[in-house]
Amino acid sequence: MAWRDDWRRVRAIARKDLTTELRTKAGFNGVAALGVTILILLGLALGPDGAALRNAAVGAVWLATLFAGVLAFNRSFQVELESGALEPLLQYPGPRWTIFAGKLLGNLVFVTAMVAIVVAAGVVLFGVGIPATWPTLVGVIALGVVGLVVLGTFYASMSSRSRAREVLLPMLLFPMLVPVLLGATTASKALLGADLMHEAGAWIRLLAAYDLVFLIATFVAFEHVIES
Amino acid sequence: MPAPDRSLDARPARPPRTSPWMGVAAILVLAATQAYSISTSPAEGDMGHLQKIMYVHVPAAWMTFLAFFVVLVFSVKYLWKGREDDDLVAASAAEVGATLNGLTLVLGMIWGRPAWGVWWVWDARLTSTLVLFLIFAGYLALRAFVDDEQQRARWSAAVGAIGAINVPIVYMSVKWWRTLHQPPSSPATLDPAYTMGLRINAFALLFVMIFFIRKRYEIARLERAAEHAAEAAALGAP
Amino acid sequence: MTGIVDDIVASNWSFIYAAYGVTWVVILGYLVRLVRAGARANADYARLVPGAGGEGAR
Repeated sequence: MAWRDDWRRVRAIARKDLTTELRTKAGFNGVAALGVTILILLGLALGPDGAALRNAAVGAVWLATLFAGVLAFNRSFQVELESGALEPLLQYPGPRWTIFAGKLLGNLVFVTAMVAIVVAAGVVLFGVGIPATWPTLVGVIALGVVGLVVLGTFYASMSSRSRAREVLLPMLLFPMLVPVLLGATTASKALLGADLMHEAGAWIRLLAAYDLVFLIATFVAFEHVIES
Repeated sequence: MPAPDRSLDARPARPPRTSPWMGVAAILVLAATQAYSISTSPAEGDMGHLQKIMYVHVPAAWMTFLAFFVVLVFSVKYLWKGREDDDLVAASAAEVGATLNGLTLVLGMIWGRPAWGVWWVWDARLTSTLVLFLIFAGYLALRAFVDDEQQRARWSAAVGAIGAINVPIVYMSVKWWRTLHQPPSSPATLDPAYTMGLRINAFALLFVMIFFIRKRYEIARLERAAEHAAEAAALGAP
Repeated sequence: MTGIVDDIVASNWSFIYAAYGVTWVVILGYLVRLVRAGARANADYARLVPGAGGEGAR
């Protein structure tokens, strides 16, 4: 079965990336530490009033996620470029999209682990009470993370091979993530409150639609981007 | 996925050239339509003469969106056909579009200060126009930071197309974000006395924009032709 | 004289002047940019493509 072979390729690339990461953990520790540091700095800048911090908690967590996450994406391609491994990777038989899917999967695991740490730190530092609707909240975070990782991985496949990649990736990525930021923060805030206006549902649908649209668009576009 | 033809041959020796008189004409027409609409439009009830800013602000906003649409069309066309010209048209439209986008934002602020009392509000249209500007800026930055011609063309086409897909989503999300919390700023319903002025100004600015994009494209073609000639000379002559 | 100034402020003419001023600065500024880039490209082309040299300088 062709799709089964493709799936094996995807998994192999993701596993390779994650194994490399697990052996050193340098990248992950740095990115997660940066995420928590951003949270602490935001707490210091916005605090010490408890109520104000609770109000700002959602925004702070998402900003820390975006700023720390953006470092993860360039890294995932840079590892290949530094050792000259991207060219051989492209030489392997099989469709190109599997490379993108593999990188995507690896980054998804990486960023999810980072977000778990950042969210936990945010709950503790900003004194957020966990609501009864927490499974939905986890779903919102997951949808936001997927949107972030899909576009982050796609743009990093270009920016990591350009000059000034540290500047270029946030410039390309952050404006594109405006709907994710608005959707994820508004839905999270609604769920942390009572969601009296029932607005969380609409935002969750928007996030899901966004993820789907850009998942398809980036898979189509990646074939053109990676061609060498 | 069809394999696009990216051969570098089969281009005319000298790119075509739009007459500079077209630019002179476009700019004179724009000056004339502005003079006409400023002098004929009556003072509006709420805003007084402030309404006259509309004749530059609204056409600039329309042309911004039109320019981004051109970027989308030619980016997709490039990804499909792989013709170098389409990439250069998209790049030219992006540069002119970003300029008009910046102008739209500044004009909006100049209008907002006396009309609303603030330079900026987080209204759906304003915010999405600002995000559009940032997407344009990213596109142009990508072009500036990538040296290889073909890589730049493919990457910027992908970024242009994907950025354009995002524009309606951004607009919708900002609109929801606003309306769920406070009423949106009421859009000025347009009195028929002003529609004529708005239309002719929009057409005049369209004329100017077409000239700018064409000229920018021709210059890019000329630069590219010179580069290819230099390469051919370096390879051919011993 | 003060009457005119008051009138200008009251009717927001200064903002209108600013709006049209900015518009023309941007349009003419972009035009200048195009003319200069065009001249540079023409000169390069004329230098690098011998046959077309005469046409470049206009």
